[in-house]
Amino acid sequence: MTLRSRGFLAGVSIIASLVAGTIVARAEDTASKAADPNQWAVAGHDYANTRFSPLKQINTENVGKLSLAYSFSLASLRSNESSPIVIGKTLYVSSSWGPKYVYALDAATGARKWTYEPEIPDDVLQYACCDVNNRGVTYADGKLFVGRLDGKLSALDAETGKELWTTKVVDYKQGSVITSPPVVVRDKVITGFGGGEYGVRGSLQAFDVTTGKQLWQTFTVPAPGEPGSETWKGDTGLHGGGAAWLVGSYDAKTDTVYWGTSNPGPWNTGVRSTGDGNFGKLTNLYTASTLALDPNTGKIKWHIQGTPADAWDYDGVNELVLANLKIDGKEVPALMKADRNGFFFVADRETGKLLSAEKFVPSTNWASKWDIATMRAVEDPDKRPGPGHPAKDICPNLIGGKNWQPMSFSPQTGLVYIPSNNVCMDWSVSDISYKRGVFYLGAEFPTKEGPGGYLGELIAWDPVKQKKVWGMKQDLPFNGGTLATGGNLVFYGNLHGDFMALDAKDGRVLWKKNLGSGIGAGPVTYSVDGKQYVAVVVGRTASLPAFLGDVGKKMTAAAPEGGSLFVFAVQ
Amino acid sequence: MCRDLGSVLRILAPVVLLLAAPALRAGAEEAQPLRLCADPTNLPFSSDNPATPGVYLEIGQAIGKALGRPVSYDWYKSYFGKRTVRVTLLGKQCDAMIGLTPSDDFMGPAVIFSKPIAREGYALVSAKDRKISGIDDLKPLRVAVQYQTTPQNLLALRDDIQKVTVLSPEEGMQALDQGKVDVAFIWGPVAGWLNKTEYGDRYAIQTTDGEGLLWPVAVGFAKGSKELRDQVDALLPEITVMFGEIAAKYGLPNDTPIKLSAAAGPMLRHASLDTAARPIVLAQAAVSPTTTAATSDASVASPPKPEAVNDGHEIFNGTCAHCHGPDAVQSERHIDLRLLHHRYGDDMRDTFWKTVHEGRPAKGMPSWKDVFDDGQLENVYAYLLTVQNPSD
Repeated sequence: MTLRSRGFLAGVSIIASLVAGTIVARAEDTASKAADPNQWAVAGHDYANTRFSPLKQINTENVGKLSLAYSFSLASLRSNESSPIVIGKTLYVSSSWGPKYVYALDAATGARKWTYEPEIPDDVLQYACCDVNNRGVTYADGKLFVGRLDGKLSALDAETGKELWTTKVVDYKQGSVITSPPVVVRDKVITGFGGGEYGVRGSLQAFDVTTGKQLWQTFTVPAPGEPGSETWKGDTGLHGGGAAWLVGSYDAKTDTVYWGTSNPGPWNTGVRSTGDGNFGKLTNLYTASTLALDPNTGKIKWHIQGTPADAWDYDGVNELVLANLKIDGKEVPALMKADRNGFFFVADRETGKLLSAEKFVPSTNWASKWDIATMRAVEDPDKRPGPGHPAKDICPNLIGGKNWQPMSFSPQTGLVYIPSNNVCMDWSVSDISYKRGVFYLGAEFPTKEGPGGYLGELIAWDPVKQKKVWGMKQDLPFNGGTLATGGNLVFYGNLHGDFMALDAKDGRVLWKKNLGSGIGAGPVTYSVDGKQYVAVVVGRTASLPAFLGDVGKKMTAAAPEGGSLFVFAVQ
Repeated sequence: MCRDLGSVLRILAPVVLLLAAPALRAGAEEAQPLRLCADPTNLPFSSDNPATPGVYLEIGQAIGKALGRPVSYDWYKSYFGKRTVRVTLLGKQCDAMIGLTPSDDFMGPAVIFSKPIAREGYALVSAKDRKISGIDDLKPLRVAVQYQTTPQNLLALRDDIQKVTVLSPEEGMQALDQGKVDVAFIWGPVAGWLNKTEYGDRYAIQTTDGEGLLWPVAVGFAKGSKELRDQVDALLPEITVMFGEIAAKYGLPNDTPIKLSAAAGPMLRHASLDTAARPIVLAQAAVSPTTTAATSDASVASPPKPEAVNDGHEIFNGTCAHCHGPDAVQSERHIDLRLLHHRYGDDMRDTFWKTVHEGRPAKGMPSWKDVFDDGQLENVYAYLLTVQNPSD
């Protein structure tokens, strides 16, 4: 390293520590209040997961002049799902496969500052159910926190990329991998992990930001004898899933973290519940739920279960977007979730009271409606698969009305921009375990195209009126996340690799560029030295289409695998 | 109980001699190595440790000897499931893979199978003095069940049996040994191997039979290796005898399976295990002679039996759908089978039989008569009748 670059890094360090001050202060501030509007401080822009930036230098008037500022190869193909973060003048981005790399770049030029390459074992792929993705890193207090496919959590010096500590969160050989960035609240870094399919018992865990020492662990499924265990048959809760594998949210006002939990396991509802729609109290808490927790202790404050006694692999993990909504003339501290099960949930995030739940994917047919009075879906018994009861043409299919790809909320338009899916399935209960010596995996879940001649749709959703304002249909499902900006724009990419800017009010496409590989990640925006940039990671999934039969073939045919960061600006 | 190696060799010797006979028929050009795909760490089935190669590799070595070909190995973890097959066998890295379940919907027509050489199943493992001859005998007991398996599904219907969930056969045997359960209902071959190597043959192992409980095991080949497959099939009588001997060496159960079924009807709708399953007793086999007979005169006027249609549908989606689309939904008109009646009218049935029996090699349609029997193909036809385009 030359002296010159050392001096350069020293300069960065001063900026980084100044920024660190604002972040810590901000973590104790209301999460919905933007700190430095120039930054993109956490994966979801803020801990409210709005993915809204007030920046408006790029707007509906000039977005047509958007052009490439730089691109950067992540040097790791397939399933790149990272949201870059920007702290001061530095952009941090992770790659897939572990992550294979975390990079620090000059956010304006793309010049590389450092590269972190964790030791990821070669065999992680077999334990990652749904591809070798990493969705980004979290910054706090001069450190970067990296969740890893091998079940570990690492802290890096944000200035140098040097590893400060690494701690084991979970044994990845149980099928538990970490793919999403953690949430940092004061001195605690909080993470979950995946693996609902493999017989794990989900949990959230907090670690000391300085030492990596575990401070608390809260299981998302109660053990026999604990409150809530009466919602499971026998000992099945001990392998009941409920993994919290996606991102959490944080509300400083009530000092609460929010996390969604995955489907219960095993898939056969007869094992853990009644096997039909008359499940009574056997709802399998707290799977397929939204959890509110005390970040100091991990204690669960309240829960909302979106899919009681799930039979469809409707994970409840989708991100909770926190925003204040005007409902019936009153400002309500709301929490919003576009659930995999096809319903859009709006709740009071302070009390946990559910306010509304409506279908945002019109083909949703497993339930005719979601009754907020009884806190139960009004199910169609024909669409609930169980032992001896295969079900056909269930919508949504197991990837859900919306999968992990993040939505955004614009306080300017009052709309949520949801990357939704329109795919259906048949389902029959079967033995899908790995049988050593024969390893026959049994029946699968045949995928069917949803009605209407489209498989995905970018939906602009009014969360107060609970109805669609505009939509843009897509020929494929599993398209990228969204970004909403103060320039009245929505940025969005699809599996063909088309990256586009739309008018947030009416969905008109104002700019479009193909980036060469499918896009799953959500775009971000930031400003450095007075210039606004829009960044997106491309590199389509490879594992997921394998679950989806002919629909999957179209998904992989749409674009080659890839792994790059593209950054645009109006030049 | 432990058979010493010498006696195994004495028993094997005549079998190997028998197997050696066909080698004389094989030409000199056959001296190419027989490449086996195998998992290096999957005892009792296979291992890269020459001292304990495992049941499958010993069978493979004997097959190689009988064919006059030396045996070589391509190692790949079987945990990856179908990907293992795709990368190794279909990637032409090896000629054969021992231990696949012969099933139409395993990987479509890309993989072909020998006749079953053995069967493996879930087993009830318990102390030797405990008699278990049916599910009711489990009533007062604590039973370890493997997560997400047929035993777990089966016993879920019985609230009067106390289940303890385990994630692996190893964990099931431990629970048994530590007195946490009275019976372990786990994957039999592995239970047998553990019983022999770690538990001093303390436990009795009762193999079970019933839907999803007992699985035929065959040798798998890529579809281009029909000749090799036929050579292996010709050795079948010797191989099945030998399997028993080798399996005993590794502790695999060699008992008569007892039939278990759920209280009420079939609880699982299963991928059919019907290919060439003649020597295998399968409960609730998908194709029954009565169904076949009933549907032989199927016509539009008298709709075929739902079981026949269901079975045909399953075969279709497992195999035919690869080209003709799941549920026969296909946008390419020339391979859209919903247009069969529109296109062939009264000749539809004859055209179907001619095509499935003989194939249309020039157009990529294989002949299926060696893969499915006529009863199964009849069921496919019964299913196709239900999806014909009604506009004609």
